[in-house]
Amino acid sequence: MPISIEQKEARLGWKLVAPSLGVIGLLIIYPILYNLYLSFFDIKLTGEKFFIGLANYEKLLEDTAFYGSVLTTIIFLIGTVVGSTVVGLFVALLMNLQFPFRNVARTIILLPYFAPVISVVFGWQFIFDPVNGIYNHIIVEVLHLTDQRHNLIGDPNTALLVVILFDIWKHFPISYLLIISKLQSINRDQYEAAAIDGCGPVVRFFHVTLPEIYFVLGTLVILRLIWNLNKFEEIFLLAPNVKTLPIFTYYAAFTGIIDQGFAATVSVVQFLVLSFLIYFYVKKVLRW
Amino acid sequence: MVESPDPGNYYGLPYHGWVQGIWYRADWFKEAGLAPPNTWETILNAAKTFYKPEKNQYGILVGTKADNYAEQCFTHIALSNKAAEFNSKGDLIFNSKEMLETLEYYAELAKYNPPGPQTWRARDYYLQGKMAMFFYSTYIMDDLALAEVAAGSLTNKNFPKLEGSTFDPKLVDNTRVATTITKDRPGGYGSMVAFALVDQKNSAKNEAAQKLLAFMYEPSSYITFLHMAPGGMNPMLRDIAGKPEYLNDPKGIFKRYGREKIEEIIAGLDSMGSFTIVGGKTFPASGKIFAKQIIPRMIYSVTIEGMDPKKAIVWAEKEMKKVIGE
Repeated sequence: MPISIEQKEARLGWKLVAPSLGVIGLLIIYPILYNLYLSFFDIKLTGEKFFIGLANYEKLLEDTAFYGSVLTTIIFLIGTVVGSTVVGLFVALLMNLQFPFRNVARTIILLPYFAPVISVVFGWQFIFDPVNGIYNHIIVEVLHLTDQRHNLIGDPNTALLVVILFDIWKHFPISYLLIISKLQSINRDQYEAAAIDGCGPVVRFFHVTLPEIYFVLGTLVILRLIWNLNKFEEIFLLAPNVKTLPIFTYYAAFTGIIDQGFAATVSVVQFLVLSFLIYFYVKKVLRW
Repeated sequence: MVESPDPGNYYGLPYHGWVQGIWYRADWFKEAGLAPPNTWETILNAAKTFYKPEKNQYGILVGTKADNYAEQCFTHIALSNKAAEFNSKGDLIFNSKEMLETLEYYAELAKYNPPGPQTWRARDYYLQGKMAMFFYSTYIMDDLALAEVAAGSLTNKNFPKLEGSTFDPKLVDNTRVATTITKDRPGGYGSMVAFALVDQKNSAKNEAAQKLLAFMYEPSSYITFLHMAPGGMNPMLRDIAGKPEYLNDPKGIFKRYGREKIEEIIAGLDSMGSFTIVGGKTFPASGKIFAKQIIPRMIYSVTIEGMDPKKAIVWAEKEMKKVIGE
């Protein structure tokens, strides 16, 4: 029986996506499933595995440090996602105005995003060094705001704040870039029409600009949530005492007496948290 | 010669080692009329005297970040107070009066540290003339003596207005080291590297290994080897330490210290101890505890997070039991 054109197209479609499905399956689906599998085992460094059921999960749920890590992660996520989006939006609105050397300013703004992580991390560490850093030098010796030098990165009470600031500084350019590209495509007529109706700049922002960039903002937030929940290198290099979930997993998996099964369990939980966050956000916040 | 628990098969021959000590500004001590920092009392007293945070100057550096450096500093002090992880029968005795005293004393010392959690890297502040004392191994000797090595610690290029950051050629003369700390007994800490030969059940191979070993101990090859890291790798044979060839390293580091100081430093190897060896017996479980960084985490909790030392020791012993039980 001859096959219809639709069936032919469907077959071709499958053939075309097959390579990417294969790669995704191998590099993403398989590790996730294997990780899930490992989380039910006690794994020895020799490679031996012993099935222990849910013992790793029980151990994790009894671990108070884990809850601390979840809390740190939530604060980090809210701080960085809100911070980089708001700063990105603000800068995009500014850069959308006409002024001399605008193109130069637009390029400079992107620099933190392009700079290699390790070099800027060292820069920040040096800025906040308690004895030699420029931050303490200015606060204590130039402005005389306090006579006590602080180790903002080392102190567990302030390290998270510095890490959040660092992340906002490093990543607001990507928010800015996405937002401004949308801003530039908004039809001028809409602003003019609103202005004729007697709307001021604030009303114009909320009734013209915001609805237009709503989906860009939505995409940005979701991307940043995913990136930042999985973020490791920036946090670990800058302040290893800030234990978000990936750092917590790292300590379990690769320091001291290595507990790979337990680390796999933390990753599974992290994956579940991420999936839930995305689902909640897409369905309830964005209502897609 | 160190014999393994299974006698006759494995031997270790100590080859080189480093000693940890408190390196201090002898000129500041002299000016302030203070005794060298080699007892609990003199160390604390000096740390207090030189702690002037308003002048950006600090009394001492002990490790407070949860890493190996903290454990090294802590062990040195603990050994001087007869505090141990294991007794000679191999029972875990970490939660003891002596260990609590040590931890309380350590937390007191940490008050005179530069702000926040600190690790070995803060030794740079000493090279910059901003600190009176710091715990370090003999690997520091070239940094103190040679401008080009010290350059890495004198980060003033970016901010020329930050003071006190040029190489001080007199620092090497003004620095002395106390390798033993005394409270109930003299305590020393260090690390030793040894050759171990395994019986390969093949006489030709065994002979070749012995030949290599003999060659490594010949004065000329021994000295050449040690000169790869002058000060860091110290000889285990006392007569090597006194040889003029040994004291004449290619970079001229030892010359800047002089024979007397070098011999004094090497003498520190005599009182070296560790938590792993008690009464001549080795307890490998101590290595497991070290790997899990239990002591560093305990120190961090007490010095940075303000945990009660008694509770911290109870927590640490519980963690140690878990680790040993594994």
